[in-house]
Amino acid sequence: MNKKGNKMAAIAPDYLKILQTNPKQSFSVIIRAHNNPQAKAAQLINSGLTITQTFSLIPGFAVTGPASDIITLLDEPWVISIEPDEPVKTSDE
Amino acid sequence: MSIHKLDPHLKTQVSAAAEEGGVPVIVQHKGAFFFPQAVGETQHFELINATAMTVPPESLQTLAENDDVEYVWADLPVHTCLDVSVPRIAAPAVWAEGFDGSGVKLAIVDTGIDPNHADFSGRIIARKKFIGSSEDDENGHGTHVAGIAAGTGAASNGKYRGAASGAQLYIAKVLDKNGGGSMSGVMAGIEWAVGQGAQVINLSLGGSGPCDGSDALSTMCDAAVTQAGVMLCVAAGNAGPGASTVGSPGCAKQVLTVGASDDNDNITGFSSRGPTSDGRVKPNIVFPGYGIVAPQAAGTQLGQVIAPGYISLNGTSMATPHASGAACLLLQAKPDLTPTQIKSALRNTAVDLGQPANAQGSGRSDVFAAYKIVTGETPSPDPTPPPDPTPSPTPPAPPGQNDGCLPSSLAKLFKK
Repeated sequence: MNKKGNKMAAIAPDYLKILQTNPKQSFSVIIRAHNNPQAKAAQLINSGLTITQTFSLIPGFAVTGPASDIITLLDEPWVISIEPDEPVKTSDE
Repeated sequence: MSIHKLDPHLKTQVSAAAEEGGVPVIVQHKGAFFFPQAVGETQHFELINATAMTVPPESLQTLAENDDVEYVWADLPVHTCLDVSVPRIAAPAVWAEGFDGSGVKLAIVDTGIDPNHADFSGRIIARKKFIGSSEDDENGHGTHVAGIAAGTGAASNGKYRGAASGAQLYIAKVLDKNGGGSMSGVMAGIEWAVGQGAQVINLSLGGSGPCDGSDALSTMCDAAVTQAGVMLCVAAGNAGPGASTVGSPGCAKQVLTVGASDDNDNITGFSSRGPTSDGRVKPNIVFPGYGIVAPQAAGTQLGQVIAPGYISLNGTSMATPHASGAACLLLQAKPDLTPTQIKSALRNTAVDLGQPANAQGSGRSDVFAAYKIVTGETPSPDPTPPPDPTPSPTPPAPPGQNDGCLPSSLAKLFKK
């Protein structure tokens, strides 16, 4: 729960700690949203985040920006979860 | 002079040997044999009374002149070419029924493709880049993967033909010239492929494990299956043989997660193992993924060149497009199949290799058996045959006849 008594979006505790201890550092994350994420794009941009991808199959965004701005999104009711945009690589030896 | 005892392949190996510490050879000899100049470990083969060893280039002549030595073969690297791995999964039997994946939309979400490789001529329907400055393959991985799934083998007179050579290709470039990318880029590629109407999506990529399938990439893969009805084939990863080494999106619940077997139906050591961190069995199935020879992207350095325009690579990356090609064959034969039905048909007809479920899944695929199930030729899955614990030994190839694509028994015999 946040200070207003609303349920916070899901985030791994270890990852939240990393964000909190590096508030000015830029991170790339995937935000999963409730329906119609397009309507929230302006809010993300206004809060200082850069949208790198918008998803519809599972509603959400990939964004990059300061940790402090990412953390504030945890209180938004339309945000389901925030997770790191992890690296992937080819599966050859 | 005893030059007649030397394999002609050795001539080309000697020049490279100085840099590599010696020439790997297999020496057939009389009785017991010891060669003091040999470097490192040796391995004796009782069946043909021969010994594998590494010798300094300057000692080859001495070796050949030894009265106890009958012949010296070059110990050549072995490869499971598509002309071996594709028959191993019985895809040609499905081709013989008139199905080569024609008309089925297959998306390769990877490093891009070499659009000028003859094996894809006229079948690349759409391409889109989500990373880098060019849609072309700057790494080589995506071209190789696409060739395993759907190459015609045109540049090899049909020798290196992929599993579903009639499939229509949709290419999403989400990995860069180093083979790396981000989850979000892969997700964007999947959405594009779904939007293009792809029926099968191949993901020969992944992150580090373990995982429970709840991450965004895995969730999107599951959504592509359940909401869009797309068959997703995903590499288990190459972090084996330790337990719980399957990474995202291999841990997704609805996808077919593919591990790698070799040409002898062994599970490769590198193939990632389950269970997932929430306790589910992965991989779901295994396909050949060791030493696979398939198309090379022009201008790339990945892999070992086997023939002009073709390279050899290992990995669950190589096993996965065999599965995607198999899915294309089944979908052409029975277009109304759901991903769940395809997954069930492949798993229910797989050959049990006698390995733990979290290494082999249901076993190594037999695509023709799956084809018979989905077309109703076989009413129910055949009883799974037990694995053959002791393959019959086969004599070595005569000198000079090794084209690098050895049959399974030889690969095992020569394996050190």
